[in-house]
Amino acid sequence: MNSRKWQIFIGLLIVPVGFSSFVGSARAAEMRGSPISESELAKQLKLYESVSSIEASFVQVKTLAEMGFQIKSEGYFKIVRPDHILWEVRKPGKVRVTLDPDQIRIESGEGKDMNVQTLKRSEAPSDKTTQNLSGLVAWLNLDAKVLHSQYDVFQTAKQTFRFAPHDLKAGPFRSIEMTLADGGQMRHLVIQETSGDTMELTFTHPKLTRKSE
Amino acid sequence: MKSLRLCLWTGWVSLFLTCSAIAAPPKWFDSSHSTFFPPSLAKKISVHQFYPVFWWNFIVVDIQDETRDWQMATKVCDSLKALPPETVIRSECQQNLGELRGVLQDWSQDYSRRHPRPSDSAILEKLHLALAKASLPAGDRNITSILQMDPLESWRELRELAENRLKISLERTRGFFYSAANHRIVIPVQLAFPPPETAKTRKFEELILAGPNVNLVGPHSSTIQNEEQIMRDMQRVSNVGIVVLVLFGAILVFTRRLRLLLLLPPVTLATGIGVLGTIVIFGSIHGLTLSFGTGIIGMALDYGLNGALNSRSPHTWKTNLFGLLTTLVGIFVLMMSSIPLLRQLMVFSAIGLLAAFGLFYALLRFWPGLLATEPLPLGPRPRAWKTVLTATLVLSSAFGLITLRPHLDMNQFNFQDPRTQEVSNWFLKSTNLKPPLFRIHESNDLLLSTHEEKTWSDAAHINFESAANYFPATEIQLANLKTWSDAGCTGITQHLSAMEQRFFQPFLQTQLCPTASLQAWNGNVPKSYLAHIRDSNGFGSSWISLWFPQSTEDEAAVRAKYPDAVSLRDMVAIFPQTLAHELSWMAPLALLLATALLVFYYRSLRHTLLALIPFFGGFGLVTLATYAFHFDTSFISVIGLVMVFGFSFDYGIFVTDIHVVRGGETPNGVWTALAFAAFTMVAGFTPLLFCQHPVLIHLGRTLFFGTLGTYFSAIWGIPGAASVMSKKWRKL
Repeated sequence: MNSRKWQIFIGLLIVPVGFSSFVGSARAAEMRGSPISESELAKQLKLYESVSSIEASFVQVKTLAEMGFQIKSEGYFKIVRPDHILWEVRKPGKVRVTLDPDQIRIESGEGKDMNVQTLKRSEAPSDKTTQNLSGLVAWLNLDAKVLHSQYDVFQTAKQTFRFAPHDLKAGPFRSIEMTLADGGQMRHLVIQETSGDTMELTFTHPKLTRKSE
Repeated sequence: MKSLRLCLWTGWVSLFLTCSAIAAPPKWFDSSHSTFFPPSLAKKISVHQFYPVFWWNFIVVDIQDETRDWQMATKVCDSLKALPPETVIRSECQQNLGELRGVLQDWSQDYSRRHPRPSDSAILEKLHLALAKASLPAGDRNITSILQMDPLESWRELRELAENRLKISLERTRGFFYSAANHRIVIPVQLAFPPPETAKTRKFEELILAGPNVNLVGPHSSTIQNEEQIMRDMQRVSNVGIVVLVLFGAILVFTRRLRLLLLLPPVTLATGIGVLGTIVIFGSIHGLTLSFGTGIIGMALDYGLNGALNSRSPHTWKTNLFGLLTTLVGIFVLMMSSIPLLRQLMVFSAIGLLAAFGLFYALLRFWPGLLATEPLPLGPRPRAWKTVLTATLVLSSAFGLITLRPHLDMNQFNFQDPRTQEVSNWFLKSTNLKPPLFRIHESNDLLLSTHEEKTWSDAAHINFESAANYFPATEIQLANLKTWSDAGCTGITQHLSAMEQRFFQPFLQTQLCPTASLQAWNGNVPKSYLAHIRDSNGFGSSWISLWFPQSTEDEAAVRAKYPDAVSLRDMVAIFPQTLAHELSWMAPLALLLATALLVFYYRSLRHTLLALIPFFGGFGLVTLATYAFHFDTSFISVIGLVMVFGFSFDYGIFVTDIHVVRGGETPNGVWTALAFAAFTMVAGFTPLLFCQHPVLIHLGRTLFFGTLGTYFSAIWGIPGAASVMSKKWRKL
């Protein structure tokens, strides 16, 4: 092979590699988004600033990564600030989790078959489901100050924000991506669990109660 | 040249055999506990070693700094969870359902044996609930697996059974058992190996005990503490022993009697013959037989000393023979014991003593120049005060016979440093744990007998643990299984999507639609959730039932209903109790037979009484020392007295023979032999006085004071008493 052919060969090799790196980094930047400050976040979450309770229905698709299995569920949640939470799955079965500062109450089933499990918060600090739910609910409080202290926040699209925890080991989630509706209400949530599973929640019928109400 | 080659060849072969014996696993060496007990009880004592239910220990964390120490407890808990199942079976701190996955696999599969099949609609509802739960942010794959294999939530039953088993009267705080009053956290941890495996426990402690305020209490920690203390004591004994040996050597050099050191190789060889003989007879030799038996065989040194220092006397070997016979009489009586260890110890001692006696006799007869040694110019100077002192010792022995009773509580041998002792006492008091009572069952009638026990225990409201808690009776299992096989699984699967069927595949395959028909469980197949109550030595043929009494009334009720139910404490006490019971007739019998032998030998009551003085003098000094220094007496002290019995008769016969059979012979040889014999005994056992472990101290004290009392009673008491008796008899 002469030197001219060598130059063409190297050129052909460099161009696609360089192009793909350029596209890859642009894509990564898009995924990562641009970091936003606490005040910017507070502005985006202004709607939630002076509410005493948040409630909404949701449709959820949970993907169990290892099994390639999807669980579709529907439910409802209500947060009474600062720390009373109800998380209710209505389909495919009824599971109702109530978190108070002192205890966790898990009701499953209905009627005479209903099973109630009550745990003192101090007795179950390591229960993973409770921990994760507490983490999710703490997030759902949508307190810009608290969120910014715990997460790096990036804006990935016009109304979409990605939250990456400062300390991956400390929390149950690898990242949370939130999309707000035009009115500022939370519309869509994609949660990456540390286990690799993904939860996608779409909220409907949001209801916010103002502090004065 | 030829003989040199032969010597070299023999040397190499011996070296090779010795190295092979050291390198090979010593199958002939036994360290089991079963040898302490009559065969009928041996199996019960193995509970401690083979049933993991007895492998619970407790990590106690003192909270001195609120933030730092709670974090430390969490760190300890995390470390426990990270340990493999070969190290820790279970730890009770910051529990998570996901941890139960392994055990639940077996447990959920047996659901169809325990329960009749629920209706299709009930099962479907449970499956939907499981899916709903799986939709929550679980964050732990184990939880999802549990939902897949156990949608009927049988884990709740298992958890309830586990909680009933481990009832600790402490509050749970932040996932730990916590005493707010004492600022102490307790973490129960079940290790996966028995307490005697101390190397594993040591490794575990290194990983877990993160600071000075973290302590481990329980059988494993206790075993390791005792072992470590014995090792420390042994080091101390070695150090003091070296000093004593140097001193002894110096005395031999100073007195120009270095040749007496040649008496040691025959005793060593005799010990070897004793080991071989014991292995041939019993198949193995126990560690305790070796340690105590060697001391008894060492008493043969008396005959060697007497022979070497009185080589010209024609009476020496007759004296030695009757000394040996009186010792053997005691040994043969003790051989009648039901305790295998004692029988083995006595066989070993008898073989060793006979061998040493034979070797000394042969050496002194065929090579008299090799060992024969000139005696020292020793001789007692009888004084009235010495006679009175000996008489006091003999009288004290009568007092001791009436008043001294050994304490049979084995707890006195459980060495604990002050810190562990304080933590253990607090733990036992605050958790209010009482020792469980247990019975052992074979597989063949396991469910039948344990269900009978369970029915009674439930009626008596006494907490009970056995296979019956986990499996219903065979006929109920069969009836349950029938409901499952009759209903089949299509009623469920037709309502499940392909995806859902894939999700619940573990449940469908093992419970709902098993490919093979299931049989009733009857104890023949191991179950992971029953590992704690099954004999873990691999045979799996024995199972344990346990009662957890809350009060002494409960305990009495269980004992009344099941007289063979025992606690570990009872089991441990059986050895000293059996020994004490047997010695209560063996000791008088041995004394009586030895006395009869003396009567036969001397054909004179007076001389017989003289020969008995050293034994009673030795026992008398032990009695006085016990009362003067408030010593504890235990069955170890009794074993020490048995050894005193052995050599005290030798001393008695040696000295009495001076008066009876030696006539005009110079008795210096006897006095020198006695002095050296007593010195070697005292020197050999004095180091034990510097120990801290109760077993070693008790043995050391008894032998130290016993030897001194025996020696002084022999050299002062017999001449004094002989002189008094002569005068009295002359007057008569």
